[in-house]
Amino acid sequence: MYTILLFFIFLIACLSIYCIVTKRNMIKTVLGVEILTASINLNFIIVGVRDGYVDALAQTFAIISIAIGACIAALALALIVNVYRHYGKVDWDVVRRLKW
Amino acid sequence: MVNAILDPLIVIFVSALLLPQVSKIGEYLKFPKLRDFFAFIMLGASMLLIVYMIPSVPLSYHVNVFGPPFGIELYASMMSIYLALVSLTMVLLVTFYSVKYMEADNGLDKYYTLILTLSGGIVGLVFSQDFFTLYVFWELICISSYTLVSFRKYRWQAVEGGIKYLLMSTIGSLIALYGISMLYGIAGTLNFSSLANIVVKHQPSTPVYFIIVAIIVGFGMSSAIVPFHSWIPDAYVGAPNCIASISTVVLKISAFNIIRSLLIVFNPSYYDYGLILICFGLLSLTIGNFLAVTQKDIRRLLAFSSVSNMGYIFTGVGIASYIIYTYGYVFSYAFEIALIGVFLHMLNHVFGKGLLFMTVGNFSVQTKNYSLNALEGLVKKMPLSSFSAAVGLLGLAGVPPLSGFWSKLFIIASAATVLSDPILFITLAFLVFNSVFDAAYYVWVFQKIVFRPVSEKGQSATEVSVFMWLPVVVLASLLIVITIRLDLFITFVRAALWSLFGGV
Repeated sequence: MYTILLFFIFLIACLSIYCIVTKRNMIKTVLGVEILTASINLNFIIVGVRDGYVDALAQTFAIISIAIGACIAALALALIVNVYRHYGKVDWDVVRRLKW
Repeated sequence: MVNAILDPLIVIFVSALLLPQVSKIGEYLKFPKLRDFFAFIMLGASMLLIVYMIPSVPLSYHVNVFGPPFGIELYASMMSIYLALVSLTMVLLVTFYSVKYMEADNGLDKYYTLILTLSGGIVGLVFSQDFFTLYVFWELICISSYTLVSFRKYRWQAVEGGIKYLLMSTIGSLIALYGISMLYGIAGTLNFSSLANIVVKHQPSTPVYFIIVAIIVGFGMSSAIVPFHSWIPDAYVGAPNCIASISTVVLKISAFNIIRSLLIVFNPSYYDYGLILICFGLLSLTIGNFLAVTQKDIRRLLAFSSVSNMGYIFTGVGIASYIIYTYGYVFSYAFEIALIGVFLHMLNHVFGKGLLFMTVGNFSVQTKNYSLNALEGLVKKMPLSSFSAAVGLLGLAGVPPLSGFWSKLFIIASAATVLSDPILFITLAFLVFNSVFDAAYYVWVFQKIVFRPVSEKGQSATEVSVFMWLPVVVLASLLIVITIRLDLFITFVRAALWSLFGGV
């Protein structure tokens, strides 16, 4: 049971990385990052369950990690608004002006 | 004063909270630069507090309710103090530099608050003794750093560099956090000293190697080693030049995360990760150098040379752990030499590259241009900035008397201890080739600044104000002082190294 849960969390993490790598829309990328954060929080909670009792410390880690994930998402969305102002599009293909 | 180890952190974070109010008071008193000097003085105060900590190391602090194996622990070794002092020196000089350089920008209260939270994150990170505190302070550094890189958000370069940096570095930190959560599952604690005892009892297995790879790849993304280096030139072009100098500190702190997690928690005599680090390091060295010579923009050249210098650091750590894994403690002096070289190179590269980015800021203020050709002959127009830039360039090139030469020599010498080993021999060949190669382009930039006639863009250049040349001159003289008293510095780094591993 424990191993199956860990395997599924690994699967979610792989899917989120797939989402980040393939999606061209920036907001979808941020969603991918959020899914990755969520899978890591789940992982913390699952590894905190040992032989019938629940480790409170692991849940503390998950809560702090949620707060940090929210900060990152807010900052990313703020930057995406600025990208939209400069480029008129929220697409990774347009953010390619910087070359030597 | 609460506790010797908490004091510098409290000073920095409380002044970060007070800074917006101080800024309002300054505007009320018609002296808006009050916030700049407030940030500068507070950073200086916390640096003094860290210096006062030196006689009483090792210090430790934890919240009373939860003791060390479970709760938060802060621990000050000589190595933490060394890195905190190097980083804070750089941040302090950048704060002084920004007084004039960032004068025309809006929202400077936010700028100095972010600089204070960034330096607070650095101090907290080097003192943290468990993985989760490390992660929290690391994210504090990262969030401040993303915001500072895209600070001039009215320029499209800043936004583009910022969003690329944010995405790469966030994914990296999250991958590292995934490894940390697996580690918590295996060991049931995240404290470094408890982990070191627990992990050694496990046989080297696939989950443990998964954790090692997650930590190397995760923090490696933020320290710009080669497969993950694509954000660094864009972020450096987008950022204000003084923030690019702070960014070199962030790279070193990220590399320090890897060094500390791997060498302390996963004992190199049981776990074989030296070869991975050597491969990453040599790739960064070679590809960074090849990309640097093709650039026409001085900031992109410096960014790619940062990639190659991170390559030196990773190769040094890789050599140290490879020698311990393959030969046991027979060649433990090579381990020591390699790591002394690594930490000395961190110091040299932070000061040298920070100095170069500041001088590029000085030049660009005068010539309004970042191309390499605009730098020609500026020594006749801006002597102080140019001489400092020359010291930085020659130091990073590894021209013999300067300290950059000695740190590279230590790393190369550690690879040369076991010449019969084919992997170390190839490493040695790559290191020697690359040290000549990067010397070539640094000296090429040096001769452009010093020996060429003045270009037409530099005709009207004059020396910048004292706020901009003084930090640069201070850094150049620091590099020269390090060169003169190298024995003292090596003794200090050696003591720091032993304190990192809980020795003497």
